[in-house]
Amino acid sequence: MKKQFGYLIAILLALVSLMQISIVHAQSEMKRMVVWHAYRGEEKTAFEKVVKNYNEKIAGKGLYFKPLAVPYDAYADKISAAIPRGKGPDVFIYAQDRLGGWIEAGNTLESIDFYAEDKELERFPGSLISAMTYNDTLYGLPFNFKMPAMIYNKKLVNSAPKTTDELIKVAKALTDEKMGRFGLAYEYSNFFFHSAILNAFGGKAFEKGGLVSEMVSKENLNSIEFMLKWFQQDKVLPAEPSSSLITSLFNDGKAAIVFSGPWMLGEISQDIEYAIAPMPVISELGKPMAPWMSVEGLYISKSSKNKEQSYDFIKYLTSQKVALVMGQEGRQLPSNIKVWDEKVMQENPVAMAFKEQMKTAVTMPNYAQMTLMWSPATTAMNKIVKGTASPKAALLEAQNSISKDILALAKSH
Amino acid sequence: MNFQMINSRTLSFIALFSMAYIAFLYGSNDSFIRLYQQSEMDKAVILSGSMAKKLSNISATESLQDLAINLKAKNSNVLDIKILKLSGAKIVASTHIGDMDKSFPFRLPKDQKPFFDEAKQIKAAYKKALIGQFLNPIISYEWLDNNSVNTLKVISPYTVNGRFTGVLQLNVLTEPRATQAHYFTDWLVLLVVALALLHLIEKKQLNNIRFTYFNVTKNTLNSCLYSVVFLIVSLLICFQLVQEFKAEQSTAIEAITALMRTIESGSASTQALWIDRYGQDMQRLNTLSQPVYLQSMATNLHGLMAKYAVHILFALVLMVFFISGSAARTRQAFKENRQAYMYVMPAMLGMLVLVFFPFGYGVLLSFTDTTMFNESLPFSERFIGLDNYLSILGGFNLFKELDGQTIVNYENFYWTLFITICWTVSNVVFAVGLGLLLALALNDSRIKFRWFFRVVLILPWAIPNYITALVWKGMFHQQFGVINQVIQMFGFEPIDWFGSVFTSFLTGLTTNVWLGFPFMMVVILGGLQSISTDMYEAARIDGANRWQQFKYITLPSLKPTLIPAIILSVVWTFNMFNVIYLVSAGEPAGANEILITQAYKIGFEKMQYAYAAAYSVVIFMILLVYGVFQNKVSKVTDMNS
Repeated sequence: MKKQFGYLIAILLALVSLMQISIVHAQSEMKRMVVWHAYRGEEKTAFEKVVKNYNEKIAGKGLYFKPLAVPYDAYADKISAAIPRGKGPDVFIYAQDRLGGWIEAGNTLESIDFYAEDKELERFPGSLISAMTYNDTLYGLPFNFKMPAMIYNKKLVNSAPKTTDELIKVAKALTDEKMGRFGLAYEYSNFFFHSAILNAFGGKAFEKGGLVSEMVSKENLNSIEFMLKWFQQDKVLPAEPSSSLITSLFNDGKAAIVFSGPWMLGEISQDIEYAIAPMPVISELGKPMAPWMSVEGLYISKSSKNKEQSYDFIKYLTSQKVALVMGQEGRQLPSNIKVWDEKVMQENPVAMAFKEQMKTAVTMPNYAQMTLMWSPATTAMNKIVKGTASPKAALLEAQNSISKDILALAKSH
Repeated sequence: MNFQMINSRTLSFIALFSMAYIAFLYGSNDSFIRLYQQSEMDKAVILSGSMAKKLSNISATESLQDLAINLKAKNSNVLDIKILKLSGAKIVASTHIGDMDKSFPFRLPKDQKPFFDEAKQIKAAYKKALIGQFLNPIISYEWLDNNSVNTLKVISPYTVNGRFTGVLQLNVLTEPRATQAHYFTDWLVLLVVALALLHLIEKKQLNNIRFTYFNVTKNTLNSCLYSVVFLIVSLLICFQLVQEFKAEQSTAIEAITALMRTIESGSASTQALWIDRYGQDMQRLNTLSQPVYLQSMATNLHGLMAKYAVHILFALVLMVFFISGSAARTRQAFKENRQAYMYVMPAMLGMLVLVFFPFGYGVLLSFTDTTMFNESLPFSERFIGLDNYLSILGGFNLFKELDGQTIVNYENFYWTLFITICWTVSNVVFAVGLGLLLALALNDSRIKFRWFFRVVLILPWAIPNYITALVWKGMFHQQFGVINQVIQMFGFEPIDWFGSVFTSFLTGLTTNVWLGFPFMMVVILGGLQSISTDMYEAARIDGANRWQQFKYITLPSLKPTLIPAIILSVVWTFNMFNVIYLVSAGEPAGANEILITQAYKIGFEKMQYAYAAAYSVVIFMILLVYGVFQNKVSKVTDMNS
C-alpha cells in the first residue's frame, strides 16, 4: 500500500513538471537567438545594452537575441565541440586567431560573402577585413581590435620617443641594473611581442598561405639580432620577462617604458601617471615597429536557425551607433572607422593612441597552423635570449618542429 | 542430462547467433553502400570533370548555354546542368526548367546561398590543391533523394585560361544498387550447420570425456565448445561477405574503366581530361592500373575486415557470458540484492557518466588519428589501429642532428619518461625524508609550542598549489628573485635557474617538496602517535640506543601508514601537472617536461588529439603496472613481518 502511494506521488510529480514545461513553452513563442561572448564588467554591460536596443528595434518579428557570457578558458573548445554537432549559439564573438582552425575543421562558421555588400564593408579598415577573411572568403565582421603600443611613465619620460635611437637613449639614461631599474621592458622573448620588430624587418612565420613554416629567413634573423642588441649590448631590458614582471616593474616606477596592450591598463596602479603612444620608428630601417593586431570578429554559426537575421544582427553591431556605445562604455577599440571622428572618441587620448598604432600594425595571421607555432617559437626565443643556441640553430629547430606538426595535421586532413 | 537446460542453452545460442548475423549484415551494409556510392561518385566525377574541361576550352563565340543543352542531350543520365560564375555570383548557363526562360547571365537568387558558398569553398580548395599539401576535395557531391530516385549532385571547378572562374553543377541520375535477397537462406543454412555441429558434440558425449580429462567446470567447457562453433560459423559468414564485397569492387572498377575509355575515345585529345576530386590531374582515376586507386579500395576492404574482427570478439564475449552461466548468476545477484543495487545506483551512474565514459572515449580516441582538422569525420575513417602507440613506444630517436650538431631530442618519449621517473623518485624521497624528520621532531614532547609548529608546517599544504607554484617561480627569477639576491649577498654570481636542465629540474623539485612534505608529516605523525611507548621502554631496558630504537621499532611500526601514503604520493607526483607547467614550464627547450605536461602540449598546442590520448593511455598503463606491482610487494612485506 505504502509503495503504491509512493508511485502515485512520483507520477503526479512527473505530470506536474511536464505541465510546467509545456506552460513555459507556450509563453516563449518568441524564437530565441543566442549570442555567445566572453565579456565581463563594463564590456559585458555595454554589450548587453546594445543587444537590448537591437531587440527593441526588431520587436514584432517574432524573435529576439539573447547574449550569453561564456567563461573564456573553455570558450574556444565549447565552440569547436558544440557547433559542428548542430548545437551552440547563432552568433558568437571571438578573436581571429582560431578562425583558420574552425574553417579547416569545417561545419563551424557560415561564410557571409553572399550577404555582405561592398558598401557595408567600407566602414572597416582593410586590415580588419583581412583578419576576417580566409581563403578569399569572408567569415565574419570585425567588431574591435587590440594590439600592444608604447606605454610610458610620464614622470620619468617627458615625451614619447619617435625613433628607436631616441628610445634607447632615453632608456639607457633610466637604466640602473643594480637597483633593478630598466628604461624599457617588454616580453621580448615572447614571439607575439617580438612581432613588432619582426614585421618591421619584413619577417614572417609562415609562407604560402600558412602551409609552410618559414622561421629561418634573413629578415627573421635580422630582427632577432636587432632585439638582442637591446638586451645584450644596450642592456636596457630586464632578464626573463613575463607579463606579471613587466606590470609590477611599471607599477613600481622601475620600468619607464613598456610595450603592452589595452589589457594591461586595468592593472596599472593609480599612482602611476601614464601616457600611450605608437611604437617608434626603427632608425636603421626608417620603418615603424609593427606589432601583431588581434581582431575580434562577429561570426554566424553554421548551426544558426536564421542566418539572414543573424547577419542583420552583426551588421547592426558594427554600426556607428553601437560602436560609440562599445567604445565609450565598453572601453573597446571599435572596428567601425567612422566612429573615430566623433568628439568623445577624439577626446580619449588612450583610445586615439591605440588607433594610431593600428595604422602601422599588422593583422596577426589567422591560419589554422598558427596554433602550432607558439610553443616551438617560445622555445626558440628562450634559447636565443639565454644564449644556449645561436639564433639560426634555434629558429631552424623551431621550423623543423613546426613543419613536422603541420605535416601531422595535413596527413589527417 | 537435463533436457530443459540444453534447450535453454541452445535457444540462447540461436538468439545470439541471429543477433550476430544481423550485426554482421548491418555493419557491413554501410561498407557496401559506401562502395556503391564511391563508384557512382567516381563515375559522376569523371563525367563532370570531362564537361568542365570542355567548358574551359570553349571559344569566345560559342554560347555556354548551348553547350550546356548540348551536353545534357548527349548524356541521358544527366538531369540538370548549372554553371555559376563566381565573380558577381552569376548563373551563366542552366538547363533547369525554372531557369530556361530567363536571360543569361542572371544573379543567383538569395535562397541559393549554399550553392554560392560551396563554389567559394571549392575555389579555396582548388587554390590549395595547386600548392599540393592539404588535400581538400575540390569536387563536392551530395546525394539527393527525390521520390526514391537516387540523384547525385556534383559540383566541380572550371577554369578559363588556367584561372579559376566558376563551378559546374551536375545533377546525375545514378544506377540503382542491386540488392541481395539471399540473406535469409544464408542465415538458415549456417544455423542448421551450427546446430548440427553442436548436436554432434552433445551426442558423442565429448562433454563428459573432456570434463573428466581437463578438470574444468562444465560451464566453462560448454562455453568453450559453443564459442568454437560460433567462431567457425562467424568466419564462414565473414568469408562469404568479403567475397561479395570483392566481387562488387571489381565490378565497380570495371565500370569506371569502361566509362573512362568511352570518354577518352569520344574526345579529340586523349591527354589529361579530368582531375580527380583532390585536384591532382589523373592521379587517382586515370591510373587504375597503378596502386593508388586499388589501394584506396583495399583500405575499404581492410576497414570491413577490422569491423568484422571487432564484431566477432564482441559476440564471443557475449556468448561466453551467457553460456557459461555468468549471465544467469548476474541476474540472480541483481534479483537477490535489489535494494542494495538500488542504493548504489546513483553512484554507479555517476561513475559511468563522469569516469568510465570519458575514460573509454579516451581509449577509443587513441586508436584514431583525430586532430583539430578531422574531428567531424566518422569514427571508421579516423581509425588507424595501433599506429599512435607504435610511434610513441617505437620512437628511439633520442638524439637529433641540427645545424651540424647532435643534440638530445627532448620530445622523445623515453627522455620524458626518464625525467618523469627522476622527478617522481626524487620528490617522494625528499618529501618522505623531510616529513619523517619533522614528524619525529614534533613528536618529541620536549619541544615547546608544538601546536604552533604543527599549524605552521601544514600551511604549505593548505595554500592552493598553483599560487605556491607561481610564488616559487617568482623567487627563482634571475634578476628579481629572492633566491638569487641571497646568493648575491654572499658574493656569488646569480644563477640562471631556468637555463640548464639540472637547475631547472631543481626549481620544480623544490616547489613540489615544499608542497608535499606537510602531507607526509601529518601521516607520519599520526603513525608515530599510535606506537605504544611501552615498546620503547622495553627496548631501553634491553639496552637499545636511539638509532636501534628507531630502526627496529619506529620504522617497522610506521610501515602500514607509510606505504599507502607513498603509493598515493607516487601517483600524484607522477601526474603533478601544475608545478611543472607553472614553475619551469619544461624549460629549457622542453627538457623538463613530464609525461602529463607533454601530453597536454601534444593535445592542446599541436592539436593532435588522438596522439595525446594515446600518450595518456600509456601513462595510465605505467601507473597501473606500478600500482599492481606495489600492491604485491607490500603484501609480501606484510607477510614477512
